[in-house]
This record gives sequence, structure tokens and C-alpha cells, in this order.
Amino acid sequence: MRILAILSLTILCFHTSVGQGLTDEMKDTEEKLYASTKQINQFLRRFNGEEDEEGNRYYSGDKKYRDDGLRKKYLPVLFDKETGYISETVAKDFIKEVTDKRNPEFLDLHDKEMFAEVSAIFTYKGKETSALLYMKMQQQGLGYEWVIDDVAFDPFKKLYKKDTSEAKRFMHPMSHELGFMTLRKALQNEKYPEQFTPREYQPDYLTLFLFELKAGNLKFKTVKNVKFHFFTIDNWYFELSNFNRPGYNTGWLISNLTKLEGNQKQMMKDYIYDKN
Amino acid sequence: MKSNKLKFYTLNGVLLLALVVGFSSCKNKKKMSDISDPNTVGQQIEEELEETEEEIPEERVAVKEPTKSERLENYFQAIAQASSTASANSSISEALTMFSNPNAPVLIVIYRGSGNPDYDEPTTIKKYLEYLKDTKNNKAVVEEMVLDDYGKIKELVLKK
Amino acid sequence: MKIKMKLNKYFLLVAFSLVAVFTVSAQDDVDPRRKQAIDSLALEKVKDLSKYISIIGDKKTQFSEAQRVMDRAEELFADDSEMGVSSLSREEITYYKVREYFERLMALNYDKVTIKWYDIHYISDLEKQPDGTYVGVITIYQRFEGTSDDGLSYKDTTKKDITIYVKKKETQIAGRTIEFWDVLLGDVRVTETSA
Repeated sequence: MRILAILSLTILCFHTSVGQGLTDEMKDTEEKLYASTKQINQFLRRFNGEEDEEGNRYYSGDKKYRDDGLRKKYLPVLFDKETGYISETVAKDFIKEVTDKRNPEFLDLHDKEMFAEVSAIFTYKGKETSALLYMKMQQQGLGYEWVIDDVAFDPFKKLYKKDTSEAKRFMHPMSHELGFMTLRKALQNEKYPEQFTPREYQPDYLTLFLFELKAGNLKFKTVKNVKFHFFTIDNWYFELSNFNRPGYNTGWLISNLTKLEGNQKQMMKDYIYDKN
Repeated sequence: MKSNKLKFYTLNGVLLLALVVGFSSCKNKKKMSDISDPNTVGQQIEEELEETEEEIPEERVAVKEPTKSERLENYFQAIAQASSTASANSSISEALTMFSNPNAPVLIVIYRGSGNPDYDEPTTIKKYLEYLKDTKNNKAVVEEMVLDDYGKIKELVLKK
Repeated sequence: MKIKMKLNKYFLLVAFSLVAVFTVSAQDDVDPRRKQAIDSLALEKVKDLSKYISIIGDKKTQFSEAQRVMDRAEELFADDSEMGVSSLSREEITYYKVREYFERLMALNYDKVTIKWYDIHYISDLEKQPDGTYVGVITIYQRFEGTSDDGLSYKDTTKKDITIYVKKKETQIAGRTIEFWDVLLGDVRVTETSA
């Protein structure tokens, strides 16, 4: 009992010792910071109904853990409301679907249908150039790691312009009889040798990217921006972005929301990965 | 053949049952740990403390000397609340005289579950006193002191 | 009939693997009360850091005292930890070694510096990384005010996302083995907020 008394006393002391000397302006800011979705982790927990209003965690087994009422309260504030990209009716449909009592949907950081898009700055052959890195989470050893899944880099894209028209250059179909001496004309001084590859050939930008890093032509400079793409909920896509602005609608919020039908999922992914 | 099939079904049933039972017993455990009646929790903590005290090997001299621990806790308080660096430093020097040397190990218990206690990274008394001076975070209380032949503290266990 | 038996065997296999998975995850799960204790320990290290930063930034702190506190603050971090700093006017991140960051803070050209901390923090889940060490992020907010004698002043609010590494370690103290939670801070992302 004595221990308990001391314990509660120390907790009390600790609590009063912090937050002292805050100006009114700071108290006002503090309220906004409470409202802000401060981490992606907090976005996930708010979405799933896994924490209270002050950010204290609920564990599975707690009464309020993933509580339906809690989720219905949190979900509407997880959308960006200031740039106007999200229609209110679509958002309502989405909330209704993910909180459906028979089949509620939750988010998980390790879900394979979630990935990050990092806009970073590199110097390429001495010139500052931006690149998009697509990051995914992978299980490794005793835990997980983020890995670079793909890259979109303009200089590479410009490098490969595949002509698939009937007028494109080719090596004629009797080249084999000539010991492929046609190769000389095809490859010498040719800017786009990719026109002599199969129709389905796709350049692997990630390999090129790693090659250029190793060769020292490409050097990392800094990260500019980060976004997340979620395809984790059936027939839906949403984008998560960070909003650093005044007010209460800040932090990690849903910045884009689309209902997907048919093969739209793959189209959307190709679009995000800058593959056409 | 029919009986064979039946056997499989019952086995499946038993397995399923085992799964269900396993689940619900897990749940019960959770519920148990969720009990927040302060009296019960207090009792639990005291019981756990008693248990661990009994487990201490005999060759270690664990002396319960309330005056000594109170004196030390007063120093902790004085250092954490010192009005100036100079006064904090003089309290640190005084407190250090209670120890066999400034490098006497200090263990800080952060959690006591069913098994061994969980500790913070072990530190020395000098570092701990300076920590109190810098952070003013005087949450820990004396739980155990091991004394040398001259009655000075050679090992200190605190609890947060 | 044969097919049915095969199916049953299949079901058995699935049931067994289910049981196996559950026991593994149950063992792996640190119980919530212990988790909370570890969370509090990690948060305490972050609060210690925030106090050290206030002392280092304070112009009244003596040089030798500031050096000692910087040593202590540095001890909280894993080797090679960096601070990545950006501001509203400069989106690009500048990277500093921890010691360098403290030294720059101490050398700031103001006559009076006040560093306060908002009574707000956010603790992420602890995720296991490939080597088995747990990693998490604690977010805190700092209020900075610098004033020069000629009346010029600068104020900002920065968000600090601080990496924490948590690992169970063993050490020998006076002949007995002590298991302890080693909590180290890692890279810190500092962003200016417009809140």
C-alpha cells in the first residue's frame, strides 16, 4: 500500500512539473498539436480505433479497442478538408464501408498493399535532379525493413524512347543468313537501340539507378517529400500526405480517395509508379 | 472406413476445441491483468515484492535501514530541487560520502512482472546524482542497499 | 473416400500450423504492462534529452557545465545518430551529427535563449527490425525563443521525431547477471511547424 501511495504521489509530482510556464499562445498551439495526426502510426491507430483522445494506446482486450463509436468519431477528421480534393459523399461511403459491422476494415503497417513514395534530390552527373523512390516493407531476419522497390527518374525515362510503330527501324528477317552482320548498322551510332528489343521489353530503372550510384554518377542529397499509397482496402485507393499548416486539420491526412472498379487498381498503381 | 472418418472428425473437433479454449484462456488472463482495483494491485505488488525479497541469495548482505535510505532520499530531493548548480554540487559531494566509491553500481527497476525484474541500464551513483541535478527527475525510491564492511553503500537498487 | 481422407489430413495440417502460429506470436508478444513500462522508460530518455537541450541552449549555463551536459546528452544516442533539420523557409533537410547540433545550439548568437517543451508527446508502436532490436519513434514539440539585447527576437515551434532503439541486454554486476532494457536514441527529424 505504501508503495502505491508513493507511486501515485510521484506520478502527480511529475505531472505538475511538466507543462509549467506555458504562455496562453503556447496553450492554444498545444490544443492544435493534440488534434494534429502527428505520426503515420497515429493515423493507423486513429483509423483503427486503437487510442484515446490523448493518444494513449488501447491494447487488444481493452474495452474500447477498435470500438465502432470511437472509429466513427476519428475517421471523419482523418481527411484533408482544406484543399478540396476529396468529395464529402465519397468520404462518407468510404467511412461507412470500413466501419461496416459485419466486415470492418482495419489498416496494418505491414500490409503488402501499402507503399511509400519518397521524393528525393540527387546530383546526377553533377546536376541536381529529383527522383521518386517507391518504398515497401519487407520481412527480414527477426523483423521488418523498408526496401526500395522501384524508382522513377526522368533522365532514365528520356533515355528510353521505344518506337513501336510500323515505321520503326528493324533488323530484317534474313539477318541470320548473314551471320547477323546487320547488327553493325543497327547498333553503331544508334541513339535508341531499344527498338531492336522485343515488344514486351521494359527497361528496369531500379537496376540502372543502382548502377549509376555504384558508378559514382548519382549521389544522394536529401529527401523533399513523403507520401503513402494504400490499396489495402478492397476496391478503394487512398493517398496519405503530411499537412504542415495552421489550424486543426493538420498532420498525416488522407489527401486523395478513389473508389476502384474493374482493372482500375492496376491502372492506378501504374500511374503512381510512372509506368504507362 | 466409416469409423476412421469419425476418428478424424473427432480429432478435428478436439483440435478446434483446444484452439477455442486456448483463445478464451488468453482472454481471461488479459482480463485478470486489467483489474484496476487499487487495493488488489497494491496487494499484488506487495506480494510480488515479498516473493522477490525471499529469493535474494544469502551471501548478499541486504540490510533494511530506514534511516539510511531516508537520508539518501533526502539528498536526492535536495539535488533535484537545488536552487543553484553550486548547491546541487555540494549535496552531491555529501551524498557520495555515504558510498564506498563514486562508481558504486546503481540498478533501477522499471517493471516487476512475474519473472525477474526489468531494469534500466545500470549506472553509477556519481552519474545518477548528476542525472538528478540535470534533469530534476527524482522519481525513483530506494528499494535495496548492499553495504560494505564499513557500513557504506556498495550497491544500490532503486525503483521507478 | 480416399479424397475425403486426404482432405481431412489437410485440415489436420492446417489446424496444427494454426496452433503453432498462435503459440509463437503469444511468446513474442510483450505483455501490455511491460510494454507500458518500456514506453515510459523510452519517454523518460526523450524527456532527459529535452532537459539537456534546455541547459545547453541556456546562455546562463557555464561553458564547462554545458560541455559536461553535452557529453551526457550524447551518451543517450546510438553512434552515428544524426539530426535532420528543415524549416518553413527552407524545406530541404540539413543533416548534423548530434554533437555538432548541440554545439551550434550553444553558439547561437542571441543574448537570451529560452527553450520550453510542450506538454505533449506521441509514442509509436515498437517494431522489430531484422536484428531483433525494437525501434520506435517518439514525437515531442519544442518552443524556442531567442532575444538579442537590441530587442530583436526570433521564435519558432519545432516538431522533433526521435528514433528510439530498445534492446534487452545482460551485464554482470557484483557477480550476478542483470538483464536490462537498453534504450538508445537514434536519428532525429526536426521540422518547423506552422501550428
